[in-house]
Amino acid sequence: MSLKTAQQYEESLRKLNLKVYLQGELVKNCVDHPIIRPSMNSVKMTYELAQDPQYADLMTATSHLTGKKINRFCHLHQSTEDLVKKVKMQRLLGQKTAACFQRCVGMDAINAVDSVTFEMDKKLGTTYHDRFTKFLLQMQEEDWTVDGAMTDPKGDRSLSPSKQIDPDLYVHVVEKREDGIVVCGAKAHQTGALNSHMILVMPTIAMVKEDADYAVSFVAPADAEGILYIYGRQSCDTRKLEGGDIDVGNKQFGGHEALMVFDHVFIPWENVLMCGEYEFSGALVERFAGYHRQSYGGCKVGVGDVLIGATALAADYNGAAKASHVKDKLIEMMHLNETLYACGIACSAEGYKTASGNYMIDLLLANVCKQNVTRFPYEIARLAEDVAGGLMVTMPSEKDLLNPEIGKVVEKYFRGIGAIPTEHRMRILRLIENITLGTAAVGYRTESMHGAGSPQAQRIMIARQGNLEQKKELAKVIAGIPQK
Amino acid sequence: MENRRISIVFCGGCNPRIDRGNVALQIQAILVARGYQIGYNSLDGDFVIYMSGCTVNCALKYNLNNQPSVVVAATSVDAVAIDEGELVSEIVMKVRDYFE
Repeated sequence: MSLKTAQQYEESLRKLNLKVYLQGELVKNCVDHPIIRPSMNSVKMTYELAQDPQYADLMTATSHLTGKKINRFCHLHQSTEDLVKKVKMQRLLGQKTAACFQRCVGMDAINAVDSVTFEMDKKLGTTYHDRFTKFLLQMQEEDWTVDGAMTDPKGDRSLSPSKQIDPDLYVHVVEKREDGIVVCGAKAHQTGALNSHMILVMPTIAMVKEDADYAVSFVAPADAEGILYIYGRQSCDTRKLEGGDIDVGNKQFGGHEALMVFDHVFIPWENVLMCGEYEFSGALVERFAGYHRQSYGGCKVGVGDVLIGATALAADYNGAAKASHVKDKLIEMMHLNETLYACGIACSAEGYKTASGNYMIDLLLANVCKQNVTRFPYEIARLAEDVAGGLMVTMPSEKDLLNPEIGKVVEKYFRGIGAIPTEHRMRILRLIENITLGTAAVGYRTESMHGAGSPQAQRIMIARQGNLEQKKELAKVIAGIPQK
Repeated sequence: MENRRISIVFCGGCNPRIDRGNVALQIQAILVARGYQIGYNSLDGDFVIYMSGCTVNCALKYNLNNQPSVVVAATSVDAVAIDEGELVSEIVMKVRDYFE
């Protein structure tokens, strides 16, 4: 198959037998659930655009394994060109969905696991890389969406995995059998979990010998026996149950996260990619996080493009577009957004080849990218709210607009410039609300803060990668201080 | 009318300044009416139209070969800036200049 159509993707999800709870109830049909479906539409866009010649250069790649045309989300980066195209693809998808399109975690996971399993095998004589390559072949052939699952609940952060009161607070091996392993635990904040065909589990922190049972990586079908999902709540999510299309802000697209629980899930050996090799858990975390920090220099920028456009329209509709401070705020928003993009492109252009042959981003620049992402979307959102005005959060609902009694009142008093219908003004303000405060704010704001690692995680990496000693030597030379 | 196969090669479209798809469709309509064959995103035509949405020019950057071509990057054609409204006619003229 290699490239699924959007419809084939949707149909493939219908065949999954996921056990999902949402607001205390077991979900019978995830695909058509009004709260979940917009997130499926976002992933579906990754399939749709791959079929469109206008976007094929970014959305597709040539498999280094088979030579076939595949979706870029299933691709191992073979050059810095591939790394750059990844960021551009993410910006494109952010523009088309104004939401998290969820498929990046799988792409970042396969690229991290590829090089780490290769190096693990080389040092330890294990056979993980062959297993991984077989999985990758199937992933590319079936055009799977894969959930890269890293973040454990972590319990008491001051304690290592093996010291936790409850051993399940990190995913771990509870039994080793001749035919495979049995795992328990959970992964939190799992982006796109319900829209995925497969799960690629990785450890969440660097580990020591005592944590060997927690140093585990494997692939499993998303609907494997023993896996349970609990859907994450989002601000304003129940607006999707109201049946309208204005108040939701973005009717078609969204993102989602879920808690993924493993209750004695059996994993056959052929799907196990790390089992006790604790000394490689840190490298896996670092590489996955590095790729994912690069990702945010694309996806958040694309959503930012939509938010900036919406803000400019709000100013147009208010009749404020010519005010110099409004123009300046829009310029500042674009400056911040393009700075994020510059970081995403820079860490890609400075990438390098790993021992396994795929390409890794420049870690320092990727961490600088993500550090900026923990800040700039908040400032962009603040400026959007500034320009949009308070009406964004005080205007009546679309039901009021459509009400035969009071609709004319709403139409009359919430109109901006004469040429624009009040409904259009309400739609654009609701879109801004959606991205800055509503369901999409999960992706645009808090995920920008904590996704791919919280700000301090990047600062630690910047400290490691920053080459401070060389900077001191430079200063000594210029200042005329004798060298040792 | 042999050897008049035109390949239109798109960039990926991450931040286009022009509507690449619409420009391509207009070019296609004009050239097909004149007996040309149009293909997309392959380099096996006799003449290539590199169609990039911005000045980064990814269509050319990632697909460069030695075939005769015209390079569109945002509102420039072969590196000369023109009005957006004249894009289609300018590109068509370049194609016809080569073949006719």
